[in-house]
Amino acid sequence: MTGFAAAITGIGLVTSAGVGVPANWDRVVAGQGTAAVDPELDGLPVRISCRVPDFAADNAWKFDRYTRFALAAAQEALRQAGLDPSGWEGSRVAVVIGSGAGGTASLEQQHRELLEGGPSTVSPLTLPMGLLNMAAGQVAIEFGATGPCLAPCTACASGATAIGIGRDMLRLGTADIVIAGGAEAPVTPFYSAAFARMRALSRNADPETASRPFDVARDGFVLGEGAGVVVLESEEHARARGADTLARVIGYGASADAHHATAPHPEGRGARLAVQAALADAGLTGRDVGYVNAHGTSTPMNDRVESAVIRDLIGADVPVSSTKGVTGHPLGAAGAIEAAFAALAVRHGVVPPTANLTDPDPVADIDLVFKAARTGRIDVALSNSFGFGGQNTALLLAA
Amino acid sequence: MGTTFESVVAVLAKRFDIDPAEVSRESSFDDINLDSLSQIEFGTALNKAFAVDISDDEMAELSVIGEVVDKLDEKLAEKV
Repeated sequence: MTGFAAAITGIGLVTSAGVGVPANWDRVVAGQGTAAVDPELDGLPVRISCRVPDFAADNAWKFDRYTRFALAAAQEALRQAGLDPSGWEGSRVAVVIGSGAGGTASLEQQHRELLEGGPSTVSPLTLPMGLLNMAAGQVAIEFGATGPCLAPCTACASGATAIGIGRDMLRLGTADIVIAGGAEAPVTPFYSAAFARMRALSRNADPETASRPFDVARDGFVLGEGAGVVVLESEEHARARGADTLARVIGYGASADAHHATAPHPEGRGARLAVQAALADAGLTGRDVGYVNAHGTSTPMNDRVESAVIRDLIGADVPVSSTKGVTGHPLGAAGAIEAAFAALAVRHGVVPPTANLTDPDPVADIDLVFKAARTGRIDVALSNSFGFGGQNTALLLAA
Repeated sequence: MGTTFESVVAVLAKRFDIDPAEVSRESSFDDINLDSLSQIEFGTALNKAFAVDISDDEMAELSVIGEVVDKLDEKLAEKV
């Protein structure tokens, strides 16, 4: 059962590079990082983050920040798709929006209330704000989408998993339209401390260049935040209503390392299986791939394993970059944000550079794109996403 | 210090982004879009702001802002 393509007819992005696709794509193509010292992380071992700038606080009293990111991205994607939720048959519209941490800031705040003021001071809005499925739920409420609604969690692969599941729904005929993506707002003292204790975060003295995937001087990732949402439709559905197809999702592969809670399998066993499954799903080989948007977290362990997988399965001469150099690592939103960047790469024929990469680690024997974007036709792009728990997702995007 | 009504409206504005101009003593919770969970949260916010102890059950018996103002006045009087 190969050869199914889901049309992407709308994209919405909220990242530290800005709100909206144009601001994001400009910054990613320019390869300008966004990491900075974060006053809200004062007193913590790592104080660097990639924050969404100037995000409106509308409805902050009832929606966690991660939900507000999801709503903004979904709104943008639907507008671009030319869909009017007031007129659609909602039961044919599914929502699949993943997250890794859900409304962690809201949960953390209410836990402080519990400790400081006792149980009667805990807000009754705690769970409506904090649950990990609430971004998906609120998007469904906002847009009257009464089809299936779910929130897959595969940690840092969640957003990519959501797009893969969304495509499966279209293939199975479960829905005509899927609002799919990921959302995350984990830049909190609690999350920063927890990742710092794992020694997963960069402690670079020069915050602006801290997120530098595949560079010899990389020393961990930078905590990011945001949301990526795409509108998926079957090609027939998009054609029938005269919608522009921006790019297509033509392959989805998922796997588990079944090896360790957080460390990747040393030979990238799960990553390989995911990439192979995506290629098989699309009926392609690695040689058909013209660009790889790597998971590329800027941690030594990921970069070494992932580059070996790319070299073996795709080729040492295929352009590779990690847009996390710009966005930092927005955890469960990353996979959807990066699938969107991969879609834009094939649409525009542009490979964005890896920001802050100046001295490629020789261990990464692949064609890393850095310093400047490359232009040229890209037929197929691969976007990798690997989550804690050894949960891996690979997506293939085509023009 | 303004009136208790003004203080209650200030809590609504701060906690729920409600436009003070939209609120009168006759406004029901429905009128200002406070669902049942938000009504309980409203009580919690008042308790914190005025160091009183309106219980969830007491809050559940109220339905318009004027009643909330009266309840708060009653609690404030108990404190003196």
